[in-house]
Amino acid sequence: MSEIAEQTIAELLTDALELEEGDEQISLLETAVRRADSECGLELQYRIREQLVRASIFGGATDIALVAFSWCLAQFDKNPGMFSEWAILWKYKWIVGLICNFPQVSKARIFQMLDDLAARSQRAGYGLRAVHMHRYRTEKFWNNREKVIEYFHKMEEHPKDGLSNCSVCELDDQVSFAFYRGNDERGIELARPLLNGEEQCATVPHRTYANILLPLVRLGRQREALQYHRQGYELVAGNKTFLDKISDHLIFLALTNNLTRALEIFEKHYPWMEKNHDAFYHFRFARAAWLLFEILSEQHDKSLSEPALTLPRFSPLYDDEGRYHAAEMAAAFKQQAAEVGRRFDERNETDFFAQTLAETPSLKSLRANFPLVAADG
Amino acid sequence: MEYRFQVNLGGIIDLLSNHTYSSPQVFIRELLQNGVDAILARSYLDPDYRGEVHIELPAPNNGERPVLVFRDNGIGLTEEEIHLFLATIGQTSKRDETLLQRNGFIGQFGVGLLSCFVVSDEVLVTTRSAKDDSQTIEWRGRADGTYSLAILDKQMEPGTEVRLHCKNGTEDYFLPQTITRLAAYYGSLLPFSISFSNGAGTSVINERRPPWLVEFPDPDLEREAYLDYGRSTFEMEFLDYIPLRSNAGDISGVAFVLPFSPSLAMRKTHRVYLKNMLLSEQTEGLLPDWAFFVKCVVNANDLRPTASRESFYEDVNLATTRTALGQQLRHYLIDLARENPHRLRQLIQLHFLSIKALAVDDEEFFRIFINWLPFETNMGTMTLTEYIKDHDVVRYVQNLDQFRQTARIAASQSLCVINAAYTYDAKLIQRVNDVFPNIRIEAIDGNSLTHSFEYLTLDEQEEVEQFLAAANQLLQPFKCVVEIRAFTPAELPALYIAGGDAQFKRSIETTKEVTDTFWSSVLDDVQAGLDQDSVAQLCFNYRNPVVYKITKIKDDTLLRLSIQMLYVQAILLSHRPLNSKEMALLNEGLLGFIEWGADTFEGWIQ
Repeated sequence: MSEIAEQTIAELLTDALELEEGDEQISLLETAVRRADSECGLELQYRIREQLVRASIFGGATDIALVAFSWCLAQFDKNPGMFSEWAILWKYKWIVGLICNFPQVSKARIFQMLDDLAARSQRAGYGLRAVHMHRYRTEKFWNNREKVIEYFHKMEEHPKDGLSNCSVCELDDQVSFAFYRGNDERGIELARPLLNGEEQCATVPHRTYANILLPLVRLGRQREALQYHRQGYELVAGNKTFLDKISDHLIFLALTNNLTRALEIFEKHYPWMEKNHDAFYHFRFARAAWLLFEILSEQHDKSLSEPALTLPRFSPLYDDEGRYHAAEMAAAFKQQAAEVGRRFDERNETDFFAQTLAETPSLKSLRANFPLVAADG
Repeated sequence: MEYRFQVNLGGIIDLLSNHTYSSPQVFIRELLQNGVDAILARSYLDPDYRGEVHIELPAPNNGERPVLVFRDNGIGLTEEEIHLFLATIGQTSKRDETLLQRNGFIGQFGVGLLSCFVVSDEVLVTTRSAKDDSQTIEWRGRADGTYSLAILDKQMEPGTEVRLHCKNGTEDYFLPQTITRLAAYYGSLLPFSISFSNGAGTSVINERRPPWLVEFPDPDLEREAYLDYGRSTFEMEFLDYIPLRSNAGDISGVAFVLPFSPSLAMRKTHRVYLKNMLLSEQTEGLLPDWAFFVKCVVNANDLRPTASRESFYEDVNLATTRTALGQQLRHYLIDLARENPHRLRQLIQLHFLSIKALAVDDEEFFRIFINWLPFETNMGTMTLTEYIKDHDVVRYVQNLDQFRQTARIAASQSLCVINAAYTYDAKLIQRVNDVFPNIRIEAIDGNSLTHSFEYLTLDEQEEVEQFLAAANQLLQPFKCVVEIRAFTPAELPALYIAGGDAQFKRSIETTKEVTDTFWSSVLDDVQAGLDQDSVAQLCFNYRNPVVYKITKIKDDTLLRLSIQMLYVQAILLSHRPLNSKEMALLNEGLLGFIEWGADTFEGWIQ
């Protein structure tokens, strides 16, 4: 290995780490990985891939994270004592947290991964709080209610340790769990320290703001929700890893009749969906877009029912004139969501995704006029 | 029945000095804050009254330990109030708003005094309340938690005097230069005089008003004053200054333009005063994310600091403040574009990233700055406007390696290609249509570059048919399709192109070389989700003399070896690592050539 190559890579790495999370950071780190693979030793190859895993997790490229992680895990096992055990376990958590998003990965493999993480955690002297948290999230993915509740409580029975999430993230999970149990008011109450900015970490309250919108709409507290939409959208708008949360904002805007704003946001993030390999992000965004365009198609105002949009050329929906029919868009997104949902349901052996889609139009009953004030929108 | 905890003051003091306060020097901050609160409270009683703080360091007698006297002419304390502050000592070690509301400044007073025990084993407070019929009272507190209280005969002017006796090991905090420096550091913005005296005379520490509170007769003087303020505050020669004012947060201050390009990951911290007292030099979250080209000094009267004092609560008020301050920086840049292009050019040289960050999300701003922002191309650095003047298609490459690979080929075809691997560039380019609707924008990769390569004539195609078939068959296991076209530069024998999914498949292949069966099957699952049509491509250059010769080779072995070696070489030229199969190919090819050469020339070596 050459010293010059190591220096070039060190520079690439520094450049990359100076960037915000996103495509550019990922692309620079991929370049660094390629260089390191051809010119440097194992240690550097590993370090850079560690960064690539982190960057793709926080930059919304789940597939890249998965590939880079599996390389790291293999090298970790092949070279005992060479790399940090805690660091690989922490990344493993990220991976089990996203593996459900790949419908082509079977349930058996997902469970095998969770078991492996549990065994490795215990071997390293950690408890199972983190693993149970992920078992809870996994079961929630296909809505196995009994198990969801069981694992959430199991998680709470285990003490916090070096592998469990930070208290802010855990509070966010408490909030989501309350919503899952149908307890909107309790969830909102729990979320208060997150919403008023007292408690923060890398992804909370970013997620919390989005999660809380629909419960607030259900409770008729749209006015509060508008504020959280403003604050929350700003936090997630710049990062693809939050595409599923952006979908929540989209639905919220559609249900409060802020249709022009919803279109702007759709236009901005739609290319992210088309370019992303993550099927779950696809499902969530397509479903939100379907609801939005369905509502738009029912408007008398032609600028809404036949909106002018700038979509990227690579989009299958692309129109040279930039004129789109909301009804056609709704149909296209509905089909797209159904298609991805079917793949998930097949893998999950449930009909949760189909059911979610079937219930989506009924959200329209929650519609009410709560315009964002133009000046502070 | 309600009980109160018996607080061990000695324990609390130890806790404070070792944990709560990051550094002993905060005792000066706390004493000043006590003074501020007392002066504020008295001014409510008597609007005509002028507050002041005096710090004295009497020249020590031979061998005596130094003493520091801190005096304010604020509202002072009554005996009852002294008991009240003693009761609140130990309830909290932090000043906070709720306590202030509940107990007024007196509750805070005790908190402030506690920090003095960090530098003094005994704290002597002499005070007389400005309220009627008050007496002069002396409180003597000791670090072990005991205290005594006495009513003195003498009548002092209303106010409070705190006397500290230097503790072993804290002598540095009793030096005149340390005290004046710290008092100026925390209190330079305070709107009343802070004076200091020792044996050598008396001076006012905060005589100088910050420039945003001064009216200047002409802009040159203003500029000089601001930059001088920046220099003395941060020891930096700033490029420019931007006065800041915002109703939200009740903010006034200045943003200085940094004289260097900051790293994107650098913490963007500012010096912030809260109600004229220094809050922190490390305050974050005050400006919008894009505004990382400035460093600010501001006073905020209406923002709520978090316990760490290094940021504010992320509430609506902060968001509004941030937007307002961002608007002022934005206007500054726009004005510069109109009025001072020279300075803007200087600024852009250092801070184009910050400006690009704003332009990405701000159409109006983009329209103006498209004329200014530099982009790297294979034909030198230029602005988008300059680029568009000569081209009606904007071509850009989004990946550094691909840029390197394609730049040379593009240049040889007189194509100007922008390297958009850098932050914000691709997003900005995609905005070009907002300003120039008729310009076409094209993301280039190796693949799209081949579209401009010449096809072979029918005769030529016939001639290379056999070669192509052999190459395709040979490289099929490598998931690579072979083509042959004519392009420049002629020195380049072949171009290896693996965009998007094809590249990703390569990295999956590399990874599968090390993973166990379980993870390999997970990776297979992932691969199954990819576009199956997306394969790598090897495009031979018919203009290259070696390639031209190879297409004519009849010898199977030589043909196979040549194709393999050109394939491996093209991969290496594209800055990609070889996977183990390709490495085997390289070895086989190299040895094969040596053997072939040895066989061919066998007759000559004798």
